[in-house]
Order: sequence, then structure tokens, then C-alpha cells
Amino acid sequence: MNPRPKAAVIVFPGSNGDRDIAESFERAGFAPVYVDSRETAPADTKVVGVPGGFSYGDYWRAGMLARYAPAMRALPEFVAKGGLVIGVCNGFQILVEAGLLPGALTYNNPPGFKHKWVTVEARETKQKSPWLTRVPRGMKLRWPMAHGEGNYYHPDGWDAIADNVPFVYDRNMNGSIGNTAAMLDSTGRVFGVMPHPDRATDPHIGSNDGALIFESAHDAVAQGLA
Amino acid sequence: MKPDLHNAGINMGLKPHELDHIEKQLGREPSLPELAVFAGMWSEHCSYKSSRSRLAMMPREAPYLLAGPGSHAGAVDVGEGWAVAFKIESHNHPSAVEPYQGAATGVGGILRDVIAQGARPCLVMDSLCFGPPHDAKSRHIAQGVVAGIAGYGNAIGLPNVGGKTVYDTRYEGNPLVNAMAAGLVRHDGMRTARAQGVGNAVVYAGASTGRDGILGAAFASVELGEDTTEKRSHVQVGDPFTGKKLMEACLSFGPELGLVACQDMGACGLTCAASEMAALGGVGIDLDLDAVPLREDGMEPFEVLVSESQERFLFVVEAAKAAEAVKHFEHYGVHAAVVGKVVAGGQFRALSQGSVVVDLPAALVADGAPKLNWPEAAALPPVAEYAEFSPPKDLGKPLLRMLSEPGIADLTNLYDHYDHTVGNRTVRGPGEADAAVMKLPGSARGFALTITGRGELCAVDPYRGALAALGEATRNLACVGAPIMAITDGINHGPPSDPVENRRLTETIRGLADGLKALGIPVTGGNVSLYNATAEGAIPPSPMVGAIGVVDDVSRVPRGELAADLALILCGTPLATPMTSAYGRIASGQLAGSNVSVDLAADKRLANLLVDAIRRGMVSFAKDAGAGGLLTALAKGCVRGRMGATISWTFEGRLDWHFFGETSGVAWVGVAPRFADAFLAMAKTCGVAAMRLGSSGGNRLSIKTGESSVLDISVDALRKAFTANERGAA
Repeated sequence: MNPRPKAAVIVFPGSNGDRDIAESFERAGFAPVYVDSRETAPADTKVVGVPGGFSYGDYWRAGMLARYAPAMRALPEFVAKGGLVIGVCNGFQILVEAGLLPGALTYNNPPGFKHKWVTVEARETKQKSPWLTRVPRGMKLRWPMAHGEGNYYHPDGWDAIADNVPFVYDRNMNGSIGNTAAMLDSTGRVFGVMPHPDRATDPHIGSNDGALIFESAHDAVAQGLA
Repeated sequence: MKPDLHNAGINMGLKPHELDHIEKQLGREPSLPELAVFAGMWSEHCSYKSSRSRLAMMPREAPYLLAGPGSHAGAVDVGEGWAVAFKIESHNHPSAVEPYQGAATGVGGILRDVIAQGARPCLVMDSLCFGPPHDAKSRHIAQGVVAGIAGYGNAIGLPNVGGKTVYDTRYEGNPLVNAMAAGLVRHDGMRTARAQGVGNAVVYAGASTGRDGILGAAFASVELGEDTTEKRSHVQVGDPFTGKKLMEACLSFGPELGLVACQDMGACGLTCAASEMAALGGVGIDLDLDAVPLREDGMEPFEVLVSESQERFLFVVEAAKAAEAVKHFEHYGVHAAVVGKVVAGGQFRALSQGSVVVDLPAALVADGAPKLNWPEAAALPPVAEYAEFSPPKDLGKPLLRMLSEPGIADLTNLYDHYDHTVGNRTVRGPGEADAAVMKLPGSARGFALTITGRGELCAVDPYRGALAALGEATRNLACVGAPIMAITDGINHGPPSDPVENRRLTETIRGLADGLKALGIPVTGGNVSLYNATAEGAIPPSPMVGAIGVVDDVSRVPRGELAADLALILCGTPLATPMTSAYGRIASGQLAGSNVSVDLAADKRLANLLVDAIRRGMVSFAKDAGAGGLLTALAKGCVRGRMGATISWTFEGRLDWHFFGETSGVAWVGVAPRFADAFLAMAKTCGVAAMRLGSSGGNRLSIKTGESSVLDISVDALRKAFTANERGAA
């Protein structure tokens, strides 16, 4: 049997979703390793998770400081070589700040932190994503959202991003254009998502719908696609 | 004692007889910093001097109790090698003055108690009492408190999984903010505060020390007055980012890295941590105040000693590993410094600029406060019976009124400010069941927690009100299949210097003690907050009960949401007589009636039945009748499940008291029809009266008694009433 592929979870000071995403990787068949944001992921890492939380306290714009961490600076090269990256919640904010995903995530409208179980619907995207092979178009998934800065914005509007939006909320939760709940980069290998698939991988705690994401990535790695 | 020194002591909150006691015990006059040390440590908040002997009435032992009163946080064995450490703490006075920071630091403080026990925190709950939402100041306080709890808890990454919020004019100006935290620790991972090993290092870790919260413990021990807002400098400021870094650094700092003992710096800060650790270990501690990391220049030694700056821990570390320990904390981005050492003898000493500024017996500081025996009134003032009023013919109007009543009405919008799911343990969060349910790592086993208080009943009869709170906690846990196993208590009372209030305190504690004995469970520790009063008077006695129980299999936990096609069974015996209740208050316009209906034995029988049936997987819906009575409980189940129900019921007595009265041992159960007979048979065996009264389905809630319809209303109308004031608090 092949050893479990390595999934690196970057831990910033203030991260609090690192355990949740590591558990989700583990359930999908990965061997999760925590990587201090001051270091870089091990060379044989196939998948990187940027967790939720309040990196550096989010006392400034969410994700603004975390992008400068060495572990983040190594990501463009990792993606260029075929690596897969997922950023959840604060992780999505960090990926956007780092320029790995387009647009910006700003203050919710109406303002304030909000926790809610939400329904997202899968959309067809231009580039097939290894994160979504188990998620057919039109599928509805139930994940919790928990954020104060998840209002997705792009200066060129919905048309500029529509091809890269894999999930939309079933109703507008936070002011995001086009109800955008997630975003892919042009390769499909970088996946940012505002609600939490990493908190929906255990049927006892509300939903198992998030498992599809991590299992898709595991398929991709097992098939040598990452 | 010199008059100026005497006055300084009085200004810090010490009493004349305490000053005399200090001088006599020391055989000399204390120094000014020494007086500050006593003022903090002998405050009510730290010393429990008015309540300690009465608290000892409560049972404190059980075979599964791994850490009891006197520990950082009590801990119970929940199986599979895990313990849950949990504790309640109040931050009432700080929240009255600065709601956001008062509440935020309440959360931060209770988390550090759990962390000090070695446990990784996994949830926060709260019990809040505010003035009515139509009062602007109360609304300001409520909004600030909710934002503060959310701001700290969300950022540090802990789910807020439920609680209780009460709105009552009697809390105007003196809100109650009680936060409970729980954490998981392996049995062999628990930590001690016992300082050991002469020569070992005392290591400070966390935020630097500032002037915030100077003598906050003493501030918490006087009544709120007109100058209260001037007391903002007594309120601490929270920093969840530092708290998070400190939490991770502390939890990864174990005996293998040289850890001997630890204590968080909460009330009375450095002084409390050092003197208590020394006293517990029967050793002395020398502190070098010049080594303490400071955030401001020119701080006086006494300020450094009693500052309550947040996010700080004190450790005793093996001498040879002290330098490595400091590096460990710095790796996590946490300031750390060696600030002292363990010495022989039993003195707590502090040195500044080469001279000894404090040299006191640690045991005298930590445990030596003379007990205060306040005079007690012989009896409590009587409460008038509710004035007569005629019963309504139809239950619809009063039911809609009950559902929209602040404290009963939906709080979804309030709870949506809190993260419920971070950490991947939440099986049932706020509003999803009568208690929160969390699962253990990698297991179907879990534990349930609830927090409740019945101040409105205690205002009439503190003894029976305390019993009622224990009863409600028992029912809440039973509704998720967890037998109650232990509690942490948060006692919130008026000033014991008032003989009537002091009598009430005795009655409350006696009620808790007798109730715990009747249930056969211990208290694991808790908190006492006295002096909750304003110029308008004292708050109602408000003991909060945080209770825990084990859930064998989280997949069998019923919901508080009604599903379709269930047989609806009412368990227990409702009383059709006037009793203190939300209904009585609304219908009569009087705050309370003279009768508090409570029967803990009935709650215990009901709990035995529910737990047994839930463990067998028979129960789909369970909801206990609490504030608002049994009809309100059923209506909430309808709204949450978007499901109607049809009930047919014949009974004696007044319709309104029957459906809205608040008594013990009553709950609704929904089971699949094939289980109904078996459930009724089990109820008989358990000594619980149970009646199959109808079934769920449709989109209306309809009730017939005999041939006449007493309620027929759409679930949509119920939902509208339930959610109408949703923005009340937040």
C-alpha cells in the first residue's frame, strides 16, 4: 500500500482552524503535517491547507500580515510545480492578499461576524479543479460559515470572475457579488472558500458534505495529478 | 497603625478589623505594597471570606471527580481516558462599567483557568442577565457584552455553544455576566498549582504588565455606585491574539520541558499566583519585580504586584530548564522572563531595586483572611400572592405573548454573533437541543453541558429557586441523554452586609447543597460574586448552575426540533395552580407570586427515564418545560422544526396555569409511533406519569380539551411571534 500523501497545514500565530482542516485531510486519507508559517512545507508535500482563524489577530485587514510569512512566499512556486492549495475562511483571505486568487474579501454587508449553516451550490467553472472532481455541477452542500470579512469583491464585477466561481451561496449572506462563496485560480489548483468544508467532514457534527472536497484532492494525488 | 497607612488600607477596601489582624499577625506595621497585597487577596472576590464556611455545605466528592474545588477548574472523568475541566466565572462589575472589555476578559479569564488545569479549551457558554431591552442603557450593556464575548471567543477559536439570557428590570445597572468554559485533558495530563523544589525558577509568561485592572478584585467586592464609571481603570483590556499564542505555548509546555506548577494570573495578578502557589506547596517564593516585563514606565511595586493585566501565566520550572522554558514561550511569540525562585520557608517576598518591599507569610496572604460573619435576618420578607385574574378562553393570545417575551423569545440573531462550530466537536449547538453536546476526539462518545439560573424564582424563595435551577439543569441534560454528574456554580448575590441579603445567600447555598445531595452529585468549584447592587437595590439572588453529563453515543441525541409523524408524549405532572412564572408575571403584572413550585425528585425520575430511552435510541424529540411552561416548550419545538402538532387532552383545573405554569419534572417527548407503548411502559417503571397526547404533523398547533378547541394556530404565526424581537439584545 502506498503511504498516505502528505498534506501540509500552515499554522500562523492566531490560526484556529488548523486542527479542523488537518482532521479533514486525515479523514480523506492524507497524512497531515503542521508547518510553522516561519518555515516551508516539506519537499514531498502534495497539498497545502491554509487554515481558518484570526492570523495575527486580524487586528488589521484579515490576512494582510500572513501573506508575508515564508510558508506563504513558497506557495507560487509550489503551485507552478503542480501542487494543490486550499484556503478556508481566513485562509481564503490570505490567498487573496497573497495574489494567488483574484479580487478582495471585505467587511460583511450587513456588517459583523456571522455564524450560520449555509447551503452552497456547485457551478461549472472554466478550468476543472482537482478539488472538485467529486462535486457535480448543481450539487447543494451544507457547510457552516463563520466570518466577518467574507464579502467577495472584484473591481471588474461578476462577469470577470464568473468562470472561476465554483460555489455560490443559495442567498446572499455577506454582500458578495454574485453570492460568491469560493474562488479558483486560473489553473484550478488553488481553491479558496469562505464557508467551512473543513467543519463538515463528520456526520455527527451536522454535515459530511465537506468530505467531498478533501476526497477529491486525495483522488487527484492518488492518480498522480498533483 | 499610622493614620495615613490606615486610611490607605481602608481606601483599598480593607476593613478596620482586617488591618488590626494584619498588624497583629505580622507583629509590625505592613508596608504600603503589603497593604495592597492584602487588599487584593483578602477581597471578597479572592478570599470568599463571607461565603467560604457556607460553601462547605455543598458535597464535593465523587469517584469520577478528578479535580474538585480549589483546583484551577474542576475536572470529571468522561471516559476513554479523557477528563473535562470546566468552571464558571462572573465578570459582573467590569461589564457594568465597560461592557465589551468586561465580558471579553471574563471569557479570557475563565479560559485560563481551564488551560491552567492542562486542558485544551473546547467551548464557551454564558449566562447573562440584563435589564429590559426597552431600556437604552441596558441595551447598550447587552450589545457590548455580546460583542465582547464574541470578539474574544471567536478570535481565540472557541465555539460558543449556548447559554441563557434573562431580561429583568431588577438587573438594570448591575448586569450579570457569567461565562463558563470547558476543556479536554487526558487524565495524566492534569496540572497543579503546587510550587515545589527549593531553587526552582519562577517564570512569567504572557502579556507585559500594565496599570489596567489595578486592584480589580477589590473593585468587584463593593457595590456599584455613582462613581462607578470613574472605575474604568479597574477594568482590564483583553487581547485574544496574545491569549491564543499564550494558550498554545502553555498547552505545549509540559513536565518534559521542566514544568512543575502553573497558575494563571487572574484576580490580583502576580500576587495571587505567587502566593497561592507557594502556600499550596508549603514553600516560599521570592519575586524580583524588576524582572517583570512592564508595558509602562514608572510603575510602583504595588502596581506590579496587583495589576490584573490579562493574558499572563506564572510557572514554577525546574531550575536547570528555566532558560529553555523562556525560549519555548518566545518561540510562540510570547514574552517570558525568570522573575523569581522557590525558596525554603513559607514567605512570599517581593524585591524591587534591591530592597524587600513585601515579606509576608504566603499562607497568611493566600488563606488568612478572617472570615466575615455578617448578621443574618431571621426570615425573608414575605412575597404577596398573585392578584386574581380570570383565565383566558383561548390559549393563542397568551402563547404568542409568551413566545415574544424577552428571555423566552428566539435568540438566533444573538447567537449568530458567536462561532458555534470551530473545533469540530459541536454535536448540538445553541437552540438545537436543551443542552449543548460535544463529542470526544475520534469517538462517538461525548458530553453535554448546560448553564441555567432561576433568579426570578430565587427572588421569592432562594432555597427553592436554587433547587429549581438544579432541576432545570438535570432536565436539560436528560433531554440530550446525559445523566447529570457534576456542577460548577456561579453565585451572584447582593451585599452580605445587608442582613436580608445575607440570609438569602445562606438560603441559596443551602438550596444548592441540599439539591446536590438529593441528586447525589458534587460541585467541582465555582465562583462567588457578592455586592451586586445599585442604588435601586440588590439583584435577585442568582445562582447559576453549569452542569455536565456524559453522552454514550452522540448519534442517538434527540433534537429540540419537532419532526413529522411522532407520537407526542407528555412526561410529568403539570400543576394547575398559581406559581411564580413568566406567565404569572405577564398575566398579573406582578413580578412574582408567593409560590415556587419545585420537586427535584420528580426531575430525577424524569431524567432516569429520558436517559434510558435515549440510550436505547427511542427518542427523536425531547424538550423540557422551563420558563414559559409546557405549551411554550412545545411551541418552540414546532417553530424550530417548522412542524405542527395536534394534541387532545382532558384535565382538571385552570387551563392557563396548566399550560403555562412552571413546575418540575415535566417534558415533551416525541417518539416514532412504534416506540410509544414501550416508552409508556418504561415511564411507569421509572415512576413518571406519562400520557400520549397526540402527534406531530401539518403546519398548525392545535389543542383540544374534551370537545372544545383551546388552541388552533399556524406554526408560521408562532414563528413570527418567536422571532419578532430577535434583535432585542444584539
